Amino acid sequence: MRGRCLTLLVISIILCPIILTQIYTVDARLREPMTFPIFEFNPLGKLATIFFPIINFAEGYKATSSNITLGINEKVTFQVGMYNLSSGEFEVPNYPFFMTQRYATFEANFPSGNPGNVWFVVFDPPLVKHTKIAHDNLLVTNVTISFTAPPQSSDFLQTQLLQIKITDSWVAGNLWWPKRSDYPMPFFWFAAALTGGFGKWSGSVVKEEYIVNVVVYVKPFHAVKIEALPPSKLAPNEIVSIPVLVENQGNYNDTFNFKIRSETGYPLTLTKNSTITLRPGEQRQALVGVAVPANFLDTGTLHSIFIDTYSVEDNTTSIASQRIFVETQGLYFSEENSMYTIGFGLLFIIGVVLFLIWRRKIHGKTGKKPEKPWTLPEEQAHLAELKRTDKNAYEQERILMEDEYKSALLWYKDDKKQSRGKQTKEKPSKTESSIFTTLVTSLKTAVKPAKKQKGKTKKKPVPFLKKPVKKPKEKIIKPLVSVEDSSKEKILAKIKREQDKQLRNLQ
Amino acid sequence: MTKRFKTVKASILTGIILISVIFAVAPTTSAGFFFNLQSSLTVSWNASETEQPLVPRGGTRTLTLDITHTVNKGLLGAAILKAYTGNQITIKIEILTTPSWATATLSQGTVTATIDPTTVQTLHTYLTIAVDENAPAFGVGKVELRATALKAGLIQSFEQDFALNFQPDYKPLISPQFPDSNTKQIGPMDTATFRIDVTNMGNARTIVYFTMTIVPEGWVAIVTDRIILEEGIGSMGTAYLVVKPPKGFGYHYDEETIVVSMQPVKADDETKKGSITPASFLVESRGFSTPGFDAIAFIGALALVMGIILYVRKRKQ
Repeated sequence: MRGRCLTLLVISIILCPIILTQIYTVDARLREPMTFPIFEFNPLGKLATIFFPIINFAEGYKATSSNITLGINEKVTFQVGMYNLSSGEFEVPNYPFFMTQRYATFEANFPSGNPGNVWFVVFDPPLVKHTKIAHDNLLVTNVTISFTAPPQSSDFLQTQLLQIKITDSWVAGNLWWPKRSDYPMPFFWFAAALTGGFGKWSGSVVKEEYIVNVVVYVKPFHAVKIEALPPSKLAPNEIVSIPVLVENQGNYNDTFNFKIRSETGYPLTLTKNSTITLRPGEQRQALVGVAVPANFLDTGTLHSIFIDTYSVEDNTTSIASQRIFVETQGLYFSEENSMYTIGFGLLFIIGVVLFLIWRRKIHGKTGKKPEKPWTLPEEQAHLAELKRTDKNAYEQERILMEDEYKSALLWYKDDKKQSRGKQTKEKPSKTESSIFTTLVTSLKTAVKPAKKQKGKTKKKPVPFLKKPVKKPKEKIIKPLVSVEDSSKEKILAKIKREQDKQLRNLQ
Repeated sequence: MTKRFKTVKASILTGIILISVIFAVAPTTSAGFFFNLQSSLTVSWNASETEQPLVPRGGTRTLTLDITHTVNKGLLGAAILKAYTGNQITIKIEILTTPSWATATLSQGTVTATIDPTTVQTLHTYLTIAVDENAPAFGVGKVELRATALKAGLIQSFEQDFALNFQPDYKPLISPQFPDSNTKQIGPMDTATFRIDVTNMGNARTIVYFTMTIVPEGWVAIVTDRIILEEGIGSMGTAYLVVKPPKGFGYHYDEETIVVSMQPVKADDETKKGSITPASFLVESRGFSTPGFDAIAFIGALALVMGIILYVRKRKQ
């Protein structure tokens, strides 16, 4: 009996390491060092590995897509889970009889960092598990990944490596003595558990970690920041370059196209499309050239210049726009404007002078409408005296006065007619000569009145003479009256008016 | 006697060898060589509830944590476990870390599981998360928790750490200020420029769009199209409103209110818009306006002066 026992013990000691070695050789999961190093060098066990069936624990996790492309504010969902090493497909793993339950948890890591924690990964479900009752489901979870723009544009995102850490936990049951239904020869199992050392995991949780790498390619996004500027004040004919601070807030080196247009106010001359290339987060100044037209006068016009920004990769969609205010105001004397102004001024002055001369001339020619002599106060006094002393003389005097008045009136009307006729006749001659010569001649006539006329005016009777009997009627009809005479008449009329006023005051 | 003694001696030796081997093989960390009783915990939750972003200052989000508890056993553990049936095992859940801008609380930090060798017990506790207004929009927030099944008799304790990720939502909030006042008195030929300083009180990079809401007839008012405010409370941007009153010839005494509206929008996602904030500006235009007549008036004045000079000279003659 004792010999048998000893034989069984020896056989167990020899055989168990063989099984254990088999397990250990192909095990991909349980990598803890064996407690009995002596058995690792068992030559018999190594020999037996050739003949014994391999118990394979090799397992692996994978992601359905190891390369994903993602844009800002987009979400991508893929699967991570346990797969069959032979088929490469997600499959339900074998559930060993000694396992109470098995579960896997997931964790996302970004080896190159996650600035601003912009990457968001959700595992749904966060824990996948197999139990003795429910072990037909896949150990697979859905991974949803998204990201938002980093807070600092200098922390740009391009290609990112996502590491998914899977913690596979085996909750082992009784590893010492299996049921006969699970394992037909429990004694050999026990001997192996004893000598191989795996019995020690009975009732414990054994954890194994797997890493699955997923490369996330970030789609380029174009974003630009254009600084708002205070209004600029420009004068007509001014040309300026307005510097505008531009920052690339995208995630790749980008070339920006600026299309500049004016919106409010009259059209300004603006620089055509310009470009600027910036690294992510880089700031630089772009220049907007503005030329104000050389208007003579601008009382104040508000212009708004629109800067539309496009990426060279997409010239159809505007990334950003900004408004620049320009106020134009002022007076501008260009060479052209100065010439026009001088010319206009000269013409105006000449026009004024000519008008004055014409006025003076016309006034001198026409004179005043003759007054009724009997209405004059002196004449009235004289008539009253005659009426009182000699009634016949009074009547004669009245008749003479009326005749004289009629004669003066006829002369006045005739003079007016003649002057009109002369004006119409003189017009063609004016067009032949230059304005300057006309001016000179008219000035000469104004300054030096004709001597002949002077002589004639001396003979010409004054229409308001006290004694009309002495004045012959023929002398009244004289076509022209000099400027001097007309001025004298004016002075006389003025004196008379003053006298009238004094008389009225005395009365 | 000698034969018996020899047999006893051999048996004792064999026993000693066997016991030595067994004790050498036995793991030192296990609860017992043959009992190996140990609690096992799993914690899970509905992940779709964490996928939805949490609105800062927008209330709390409560998640149900499902805790499963079971006791693992070794060779002779089943018998002991049966003896423990009906006893309680205390499970402690504690929050290890939360982001500085979030608050997380557990409805029940301690739960108890009743020992039952045949079933896996499922327990529940509730985790409530609230997000402060300074939480970065769509930045990941991680709440790290630890569940511990305490030691009970021969049943060894078990510890399980897990992390729960969530996202704060975008909260658009701006604060406009007018450092140069929002009223101005100008002449009809002048231009009023108002500076509008906008502070980002939200939690992400924000674009503020400006639009003219009320512009009185005859007035010209232009405002900066948009400004970008960087993330972080206190980041500021400046916009300008330029107003030009009517300048028709004559005396003006116009008092008008110009209204500008501001709308914050998330810089990288323009579908996330905030409420419109109006700002009104009062402009008084008072004075005499001679637009375009300046030149004519100048020439007229020149002519008048010349006329006066000529008249005076003539009077002297």
